[in-house]
Amino acid sequence: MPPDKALDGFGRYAGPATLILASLADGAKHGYALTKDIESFAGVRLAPGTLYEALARLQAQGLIEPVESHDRRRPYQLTAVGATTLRAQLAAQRRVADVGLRRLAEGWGSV
Amino acid sequence: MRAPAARAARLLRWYPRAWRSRYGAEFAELLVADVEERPRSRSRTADVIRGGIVARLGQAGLCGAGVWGDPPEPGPRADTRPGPAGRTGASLASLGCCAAVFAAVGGAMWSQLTTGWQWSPPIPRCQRLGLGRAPRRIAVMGISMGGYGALLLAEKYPRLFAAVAAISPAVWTSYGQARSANAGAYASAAAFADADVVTHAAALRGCPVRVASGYADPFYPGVQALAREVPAGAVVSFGPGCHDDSFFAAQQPPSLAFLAAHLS
Repeated sequence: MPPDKALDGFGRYAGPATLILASLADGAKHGYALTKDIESFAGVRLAPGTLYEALARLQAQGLIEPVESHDRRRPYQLTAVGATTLRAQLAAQRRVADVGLRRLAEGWGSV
Repeated sequence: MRAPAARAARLLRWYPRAWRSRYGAEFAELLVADVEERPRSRSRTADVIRGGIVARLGQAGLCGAGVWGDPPEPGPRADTRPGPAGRTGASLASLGCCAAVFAAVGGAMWSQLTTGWQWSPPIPRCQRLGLGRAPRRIAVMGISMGGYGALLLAEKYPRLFAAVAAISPAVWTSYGQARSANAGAYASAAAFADADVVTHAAALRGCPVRVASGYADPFYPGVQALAREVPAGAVVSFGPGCHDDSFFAAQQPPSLAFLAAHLS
């Protein structure tokens, strides 16, 4: 599947999925660490059920994988496919951001 | 307030066994940390309940969230699943304990429900699969039209369900009233009478009921009439509110808790 389409099937969970992949881009994290990291960089608090639903689907799609752990908390890490998917997803979001911001600057000034 | 670990264990029960064996330990760790950080959170409770139900429905093939765990093996896969009716029946059997079936058919025509087009394939199959035997493992809940549908189902199959919860059910007090609101609502006065959840309320004996409606809800008079006819012991929740999302959302946690109490 082309990388920029890989998250299409996530529907309403595309948001949490992107946040999780972005959070994992700088290293493996377990559920609570993901929650706190996403809260700090995105201002979004993912509830546990939503987080784990996205984690399970990301794993099923091969975008993340669990890391061996000696305690009950299980960290996840990005896979190579996950990194490619995230890059394509964020590039698409950046194009939208760039177009929107440029049009606002041109038509609306410093709103 | 329960200790975080006990709280986490209780929330985890909403998820099916297969999910718990894969994710239970790590999810419990997350819940404990979350509860320690924020001892009380209704939105967290609702989110976990929703996640658990979605996991059950997904596992049962009723929605797309069932694929979890490791990526599938590459290669062609034959679709050996049965048709829709058989799938729904078998799916309901796999829901297990602490499951709830949402009859969320808001917006449907009443006549569609009363002729049973939605329910006739899976319900007889559920009965053949022995889902009506104790301990009952399915509860039904609905909102608006879904609330009316849930009551209708529970009245037709009271031994199948552990409990029924209806939020703002769309209950008319007469055929004339229904027809003046929507000419096609019922095929005839006889069809209305056959599907009148108020006059058949006694059929709910043995199936715990919870109904809720707002004072400003257009269906409030109908639900009042229903409340007078339901068997003793029914939970009736009337209060300020309209037929809208804010009332529905407020009623969901107590309705789910009511169903959970009868499923456990």
